[in-house]
Amino acid sequence: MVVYIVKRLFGMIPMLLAVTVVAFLLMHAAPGDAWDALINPSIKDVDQLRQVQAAAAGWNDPLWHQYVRWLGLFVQGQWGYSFAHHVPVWQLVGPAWLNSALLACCTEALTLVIGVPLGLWQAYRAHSWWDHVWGGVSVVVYALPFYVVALVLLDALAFHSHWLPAQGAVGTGPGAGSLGDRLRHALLPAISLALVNSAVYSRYVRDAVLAASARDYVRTARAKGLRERTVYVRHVLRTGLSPLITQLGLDLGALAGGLVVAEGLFSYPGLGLLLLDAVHSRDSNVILAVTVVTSSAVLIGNLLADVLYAWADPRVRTAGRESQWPVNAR
Amino acid sequence: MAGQRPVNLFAPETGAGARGINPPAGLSARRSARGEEALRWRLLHNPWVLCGAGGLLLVAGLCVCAPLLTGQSPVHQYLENTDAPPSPVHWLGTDNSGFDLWARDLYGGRTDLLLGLAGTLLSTGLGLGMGSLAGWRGGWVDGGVMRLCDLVLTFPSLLLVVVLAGVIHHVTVLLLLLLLSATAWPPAARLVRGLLLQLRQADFVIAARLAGAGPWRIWWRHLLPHLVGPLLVNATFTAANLMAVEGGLAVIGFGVQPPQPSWGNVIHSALDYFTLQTEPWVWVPPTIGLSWTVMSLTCLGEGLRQVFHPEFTRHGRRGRV
Amino acid sequence: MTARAEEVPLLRVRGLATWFVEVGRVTRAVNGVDLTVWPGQVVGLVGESGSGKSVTALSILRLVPPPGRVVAGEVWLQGCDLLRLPERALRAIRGRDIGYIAQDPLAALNPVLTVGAQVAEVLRRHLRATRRQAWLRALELLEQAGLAPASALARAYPHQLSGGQRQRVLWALALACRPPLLLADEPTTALDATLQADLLARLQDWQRQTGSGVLLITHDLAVVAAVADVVAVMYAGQLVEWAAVEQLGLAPLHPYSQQLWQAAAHLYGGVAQAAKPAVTAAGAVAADEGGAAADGCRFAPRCPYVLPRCVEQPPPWREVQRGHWVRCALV
Repeated sequence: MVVYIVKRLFGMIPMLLAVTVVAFLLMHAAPGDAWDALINPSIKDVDQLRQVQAAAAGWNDPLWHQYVRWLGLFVQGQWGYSFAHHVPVWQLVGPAWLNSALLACCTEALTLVIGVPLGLWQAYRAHSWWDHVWGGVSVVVYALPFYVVALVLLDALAFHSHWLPAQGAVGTGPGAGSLGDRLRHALLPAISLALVNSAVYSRYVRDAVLAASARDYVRTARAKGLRERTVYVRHVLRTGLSPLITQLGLDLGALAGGLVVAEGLFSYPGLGLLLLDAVHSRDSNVILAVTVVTSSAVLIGNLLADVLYAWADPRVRTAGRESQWPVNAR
Repeated sequence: MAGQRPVNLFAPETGAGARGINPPAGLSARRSARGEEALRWRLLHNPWVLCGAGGLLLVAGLCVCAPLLTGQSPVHQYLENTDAPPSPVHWLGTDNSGFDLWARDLYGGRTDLLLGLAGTLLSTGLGLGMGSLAGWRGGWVDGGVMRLCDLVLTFPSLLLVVVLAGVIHHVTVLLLLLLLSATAWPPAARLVRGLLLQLRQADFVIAARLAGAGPWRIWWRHLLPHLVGPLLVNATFTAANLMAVEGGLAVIGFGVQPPQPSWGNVIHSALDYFTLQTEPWVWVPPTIGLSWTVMSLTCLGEGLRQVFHPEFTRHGRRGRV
Repeated sequence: MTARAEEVPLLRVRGLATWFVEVGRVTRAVNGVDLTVWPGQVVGLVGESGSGKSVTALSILRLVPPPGRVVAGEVWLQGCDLLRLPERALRAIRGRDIGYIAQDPLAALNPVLTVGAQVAEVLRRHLRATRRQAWLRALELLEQAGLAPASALARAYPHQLSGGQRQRVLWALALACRPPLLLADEPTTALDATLQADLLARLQDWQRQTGSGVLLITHDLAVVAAVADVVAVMYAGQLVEWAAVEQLGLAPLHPYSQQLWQAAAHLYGGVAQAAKPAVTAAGAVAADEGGAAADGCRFAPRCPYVLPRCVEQPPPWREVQRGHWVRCALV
């Protein structure tokens, strides 16, 4: 297992390199740069000043040269300075990532708490009146664009009742910056995201459990005379819910990489908001760093999904000999 | 006689008694006239399909008939009359820039529907091409295409759009369309590849090969009919995704740029405390329009998924917003 | 059927009917089956794929998958009608009084549990054994079923075993509580000849020791000839012939049985592949979907001796000799 994980970690390197190349090319293909955003164009000798600066910073070198230089510094941990904030990039990315990770954990926990029991219950009462009603409701909630849910909740929980803070990640006054305070700030975006995502989860759980309960081995379990509860817990859920574990890993990765729209709407200072900010100010070092961090989070999420799946399913875990069931390499 | 040889999902003749290994109805049914009739019957009797298609037609009708429903121009700024409440002239009032909101809602729907439709066609076509190439050729082509899929899926697609939208000053609808399609094709490609990997081992494909059919003919006559159902299901979810993503981008100011109207940028123009509280006519109609359309598409996709067998469709997941 | 006045039959099935009811159509998978299994008897149920053999077994256990439903009939086992028993009481009988060997051994075993645990599970349920006792007994059972070395293989997952080994696990599972009745659904189909012989020998041993009754579902007449006492031939949801294996082996009376026997004779006479299509080419099983065709003999479309009256009215189920029943108007 350890060997497998190490192998997979090394396998990520080419993918990350490809991501940086694309990101780097994007940054340089666009007209204008941080310089234009920073310097007042009306000052005297602006063009000459620019030339001097560009030569000093190496902006006139061939593109691949610049890329290699940037990459070399990047892997050494020198992520450069933010043009807009005049601080090292990692001082911006570090706290932002922590905020995003906290939001991701809150969201995932809430999603599971809401989605899984609903799905189980729907499967248990499959094809009943309730199942159809909830199926309909979950489609509606799933189809509601996230920002609609967010706007409604923002209105109800923050503007009207003032139960939850509407924006930011830390409050003011005593207790500001404590874990409780941070959780309170993460709650509103997390609830909005979890509501939408739990509709997906409940549907997923329902279908997976129903599919699992139609399998032959469940019939064998029933033919053994096992009690319904045992049949469900040991035979249906063990196999039915293992794809959900995969989903969990993938989603954690995607969430921890920052959420552009959610963070933008709630002004939650995570990676997504940092990126929006950086895009506005053409802060290329920050954009590159955020892109790399986000992609790494997605890749690690994929790895996590595979590891968790292997843990849950012995067919993958013991795949020494030819496996009957092709393992999807997602 | 089931069990004596490995069961092939797509083999045309499988033991009638072996429940669950018969070819999925939606796929094999295309072969016979009776099957097509049954398929049509099931399509027309599926409540999800009916609701979804009905909802979609309603929105499309409203948007197409926009000139009949409003006399105002969506791109004209009524500067003498900004931020006006609903009135007989401006049915839903005007926004801060003096745009007529009712007209923008109707014409904005056109933009969104067009984006959804064209984006879906583009990304599905791209996915079909890439997936066919990977699934049929195999080997290094397959490996390359799949790595490309991974890259696109790993590179946070919204980031890509945001970064590009940020660095390119003026985002046109066409550019947005290309960007969104470029990030939306991998699921279709994977779907097609997975199906082809199974299909190309099927007896009827081997039979066609033995009969001397060329790869194009096999692809067109024997494989494509089996891909239509799953791709159609995938396409409806893709369309829903694309529209939701465009809406999300527009809401944070990165989607279709004014003066070109879209539901998302109408909502964006309402995103301040005061407007949200006191002027619901600004943001409620586009919100309903967007939700309604996405919901109809989701219903339609769900219905199609039920009609064409469920095994081969990943549940369409929306890109995280 | 075989009269044994002093004894009570182990299993009596009367008028069993199981239909698959879907929107717009009804498939009568089992349509009026009568069966009796005496203690110590092996009843071979033969017929081609889709004739309703497996559904019969599942109906006895009341485990027909939806949309299938047992719509009529009685299944008497040890003085209770299984079809009218409350679910709870039935669960106590499944596994303890009826062992079931499913068709596809890979699909029938849970992929995420070790095979030992799956055998131990049934022991813990019915014999109230402790975890440890159940595990040790499971090892014994696996050993008896011919899985060696059981102590190592019991910790394996189904996908790590070969087809034969999986089948042995299923056997151990079904026989764990020494059930008086065993329902074996094509238990040797997927195996090669030596494994088949080994398992059948074990079955006979076990059956002689315990005096259990077996309902053996198969389409392999050689298996039937080797182990069965009585043969029941099933076609399109009905029994068409029932006789002692010697009787039927010598002179099958129903045209369908004759075709089956003829095909088998060709098969084992060495003309195997060439003869097979020639005989079965007469048509596929007429899946009964109700309607006008349901009136006459189900086999009429494929029958070489068909008469007008065969199509008009259903043939009677008659005892033509002592213990030899046929459903054919011509006999």
